Amino acid sequence: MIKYSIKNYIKNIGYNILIFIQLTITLFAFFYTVYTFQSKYRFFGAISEDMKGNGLLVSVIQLSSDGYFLSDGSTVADSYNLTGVSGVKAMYLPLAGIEGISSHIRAYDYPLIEAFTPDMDNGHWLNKESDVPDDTIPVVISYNKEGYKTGDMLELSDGTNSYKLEIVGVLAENASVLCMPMDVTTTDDYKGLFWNYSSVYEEGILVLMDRQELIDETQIPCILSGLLFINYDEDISGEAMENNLTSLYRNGLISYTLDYGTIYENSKKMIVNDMAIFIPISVIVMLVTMVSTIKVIAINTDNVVYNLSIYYLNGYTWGACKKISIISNILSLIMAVFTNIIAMVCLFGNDVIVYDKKLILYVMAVFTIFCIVYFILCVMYQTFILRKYTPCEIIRGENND
Amino acid sequence: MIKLENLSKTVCIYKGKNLEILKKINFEVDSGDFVAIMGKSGAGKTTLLNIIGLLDTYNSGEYYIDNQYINPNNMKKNADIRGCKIGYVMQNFSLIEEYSVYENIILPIDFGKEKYKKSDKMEMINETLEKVGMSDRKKQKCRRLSGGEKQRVAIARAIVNNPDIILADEPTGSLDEKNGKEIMEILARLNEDGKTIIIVTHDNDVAAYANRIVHIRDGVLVDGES
Repeated sequence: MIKYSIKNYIKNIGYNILIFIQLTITLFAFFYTVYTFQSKYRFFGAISEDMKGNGLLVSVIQLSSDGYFLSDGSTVADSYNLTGVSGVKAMYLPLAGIEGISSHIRAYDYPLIEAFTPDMDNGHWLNKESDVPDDTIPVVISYNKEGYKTGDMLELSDGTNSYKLEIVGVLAENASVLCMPMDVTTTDDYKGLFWNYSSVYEEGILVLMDRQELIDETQIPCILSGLLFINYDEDISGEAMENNLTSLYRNGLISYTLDYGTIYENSKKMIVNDMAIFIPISVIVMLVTMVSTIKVIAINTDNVVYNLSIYYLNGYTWGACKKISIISNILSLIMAVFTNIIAMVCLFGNDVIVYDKKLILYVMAVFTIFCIVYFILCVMYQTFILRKYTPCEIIRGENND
Repeated sequence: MIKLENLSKTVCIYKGKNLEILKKINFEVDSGDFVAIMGKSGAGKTTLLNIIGLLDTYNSGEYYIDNQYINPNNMKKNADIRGCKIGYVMQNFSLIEEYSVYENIILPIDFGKEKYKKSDKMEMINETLEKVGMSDRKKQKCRRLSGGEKQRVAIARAIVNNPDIILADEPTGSLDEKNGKEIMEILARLNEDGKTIIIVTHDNDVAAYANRIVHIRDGVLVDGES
């Protein structure tokens, strides 16, 4: 039975290739849609949970109190008499430099490190456990022409003391990084929170680290600088928010503020607008392909069913013939899925496999469902034909007496 | 060898409307007979042949092969009998065009109950092809053969398992006179070798090869001369 199932598959290879091509087109149309959506959404996804609630995004140049620069996001509320604050996440500017190279050093509160993983050229992002010595701070640096790579050591110096840094990852060229300082949004949406860091256009290497590691290992001071996320209580009043804003502007050096609600709504609109272009095209491609696939199934079924009737003529039961048909369809299904997985891995390579495991799993899950639907259609159509006509009718064809 | 008693076949044309294609057929064929079944189009010749060949089922009556009752509902057993005792030759050849001659002929061997070694299968096929004069075309795709050659392959496939009964439905219907004659001579030789042959035909010249001709009219069998 298996032998003739394989034989049937091979003998109808022309149609099977056609089906494979159609499934591939469908897969890539689907993949492209999801990939595009996911690429956009993953930026928004990094901040969307916070943005759903009440809060204020502040682009900080400096925040000071009693003549001192603020160096801890958690002290902002007390220092500026802000009310209704439920949490603060911030980025910082360490007052130090890297020995021997021009650099921009930034430190993050850990929740911001966890929120978004940028595209990496090599190594890993700061959210993963690093196997570095106790007195060494793990850092991620931007893509650079100087040739610094994962595993290399750098030296952080405040002019008096030096501390060891180990590079655990290098960002991809043009990688988007969350919370760059002084960045001014132009569309009041999530895009303004990310900066594409390019080794061609930016001077100096970007060096990113976890603020807590910096505190634990060094005496280097750092000041609040860059984006500051101030989360408010759910029941905060409009008046309290207004007062908080006034206080920040009065006492701090701030370039920009935006309330979470505005960012959330504008971001949603932007994603919907972007996807409004891709989704209809992809849906049409998928529908057209599915319709033509069904047509090919119909043609292929005619061939298969005729062969089955000949098997019946030569001593097979009709039930066994139906099993051959099902096994042949399973073969088509396996081949289509298998070759498409290989094609997808070859085309998208590490970008997808390493950084977007969820995406590839999601795409594969939906594509598998599509293939199963295709398989069910094949079996249903063939079963319909096999039930509608007796083997005699199929064999005799026009020779019906 | 073959015995039909009061055998009837009814089909549903559309809802609530049935048509009796075969009406209480009584028919016997002895081993080694060469029987021609003749009749007009729609008389029920092919249906009768299909029931004899276990390709189709009947509604009432009884059917025996070698005194063994044929239960129309026992698909597995009927498939086994069809595979080892009956060879079928059709007007439209019923070959798988994209298969080679060899691949078509091996089908009854592969689907039969008996299991053979590959070398034995080769030998059986070679011997059979020799009988029909197609030894040199074993690897040829069937779609590349002429009508006469296709029918020879169909005969080879019908006899490769050495069945006792060969059923032929208008075997010369798609062939020219010369090829038709050659095919009938092959069938006649097989009959001389002891095969029981039942042939359905419109053609008196074809029927003349038989040692017994029966006529069927509107589903009723009228036995003819021996």
